Amino acid sequence: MSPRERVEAVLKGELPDTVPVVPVVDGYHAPRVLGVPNWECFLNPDKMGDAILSALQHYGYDGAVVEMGIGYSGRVLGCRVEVEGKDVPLFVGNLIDTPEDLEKLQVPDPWEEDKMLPVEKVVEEAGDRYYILGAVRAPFEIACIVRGYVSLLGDIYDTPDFVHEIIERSEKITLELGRAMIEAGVDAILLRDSLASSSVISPGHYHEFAHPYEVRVIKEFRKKVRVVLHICRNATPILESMANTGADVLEIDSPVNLGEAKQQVGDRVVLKGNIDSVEVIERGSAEVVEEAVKECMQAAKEGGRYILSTGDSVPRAAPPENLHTLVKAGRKFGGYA
Amino acid sequence: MSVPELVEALVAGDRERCVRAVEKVLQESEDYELILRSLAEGMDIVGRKYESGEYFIPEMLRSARAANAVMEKLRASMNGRGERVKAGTIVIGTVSGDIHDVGKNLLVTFLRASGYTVHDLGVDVPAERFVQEVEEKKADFLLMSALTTATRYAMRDVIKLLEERGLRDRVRVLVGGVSVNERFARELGADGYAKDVRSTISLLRKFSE
Repeated sequence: MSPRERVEAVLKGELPDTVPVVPVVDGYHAPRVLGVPNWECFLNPDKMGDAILSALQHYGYDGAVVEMGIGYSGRVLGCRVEVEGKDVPLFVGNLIDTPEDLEKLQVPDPWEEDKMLPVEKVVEEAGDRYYILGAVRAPFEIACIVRGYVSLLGDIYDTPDFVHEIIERSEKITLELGRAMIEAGVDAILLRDSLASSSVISPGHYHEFAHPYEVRVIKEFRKKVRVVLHICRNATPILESMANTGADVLEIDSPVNLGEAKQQVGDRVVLKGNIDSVEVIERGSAEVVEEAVKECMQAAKEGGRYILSTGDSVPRAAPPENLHTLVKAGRKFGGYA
Repeated sequence: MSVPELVEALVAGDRERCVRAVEKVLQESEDYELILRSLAEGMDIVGRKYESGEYFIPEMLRSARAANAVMEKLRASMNGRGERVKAGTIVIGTVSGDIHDVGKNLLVTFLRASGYTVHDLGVDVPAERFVQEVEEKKADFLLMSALTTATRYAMRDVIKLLEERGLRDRVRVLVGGVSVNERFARELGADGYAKDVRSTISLLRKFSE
């Protein structure tokens, strides 16, 4: 099977030859493989595309996560972002401080300024052989960025209507950026709703401020492509609801018990995860990585519907050796023969 | 000693009730210390509820905003009569930038809610800037965090520079962040290490006693 056939088989509920390996190697780690600073890739869409492609070829996993060019850094949302010299873009101030500022949040044109270039490049050069996921932020996550995390989370009790207004506007942005990804030819949308996590907001607030919007955008994207829903850190209390969003795949992070998740929702959705990208991939030894892969396989491989992955983005500082081990161990323990 | 009604209202995050409770105290005694102690006790309970999974970040922020309303009330009641309502002056910053500085921003909100005057220098703060600010603001505490192992050594440069300028004895240095631990803090020559919001505040109070 080709890498792409392997992932497609899993999504159809069939058994592939071996568990697909699709770690989240995006704009944070991929530039290291290309040998350029992260910020150069954030500013240069052409280099970002090259970085994603180099990492894919270098490590030999089955699918790539690709983001928009400069758009990803938040500038596409109209935020002030410092990028130069940084491994991770830094947001300066909030775009929205008052209800009057809502007007500042406009739906951007995804095709302007070569924003879609990395996506088009990766699809064109690797799309026939590999599975390509286009990353898009969910409405609640965009709202957190433009209003500022602490401000928005504080508004939840003070001015819930204001919060909903920001999220509703953000929903239009999620939809527009997702449509552009689909037009560029990605196989699936990776819908990121990092802060909808039960490490941040209660399940009650998840159901009020994140879930309904996830459901709506997923319904729209599902008309054309598959959807992977990512929520950071602990999502155990909301797993059932995540499975009910209509997403094909849930990308779960390391605090979630993979075996229990498999029991709970594994018959309805594909699970993707959940190796700790910092404790295991960045800080662990090769043995630790291999052990983590083995545990994941024991917990979720049986019966298929499983993609081996990190629970979150791999940091730039992660030793390349550990990613090689991840892929190698994935093949060693992932076979369905 | 604390004011049970204020503590309870703070834990519930009920701003109006907090303000009413403070007004009552001020009518009777103008005991500012009692109010500050009640805020600290309430915020400590809120922190515990977060740790146990009963509260999430919005619930913590609701209480922090209520505490800020209490602080405003206090300042208004003092009306510039000389005495300053504050638990201490803090300079805080992160030595290396990261999108995940949510933790530090939360801490700042909590410190202000607990009565501290906080000068937040943000992220990517150079050593010189930390030291300058400690001197200018006559800070009682310097709080630094580092989020990656590669940059945590920058905190050592700050402590060295404080020593060179003869300021080290005038300020308590606390360090935190995911890349730091107790042992590393000692090796650095810091006065303390705190792993989260609640342990930071209890450490600060211990130093103030």
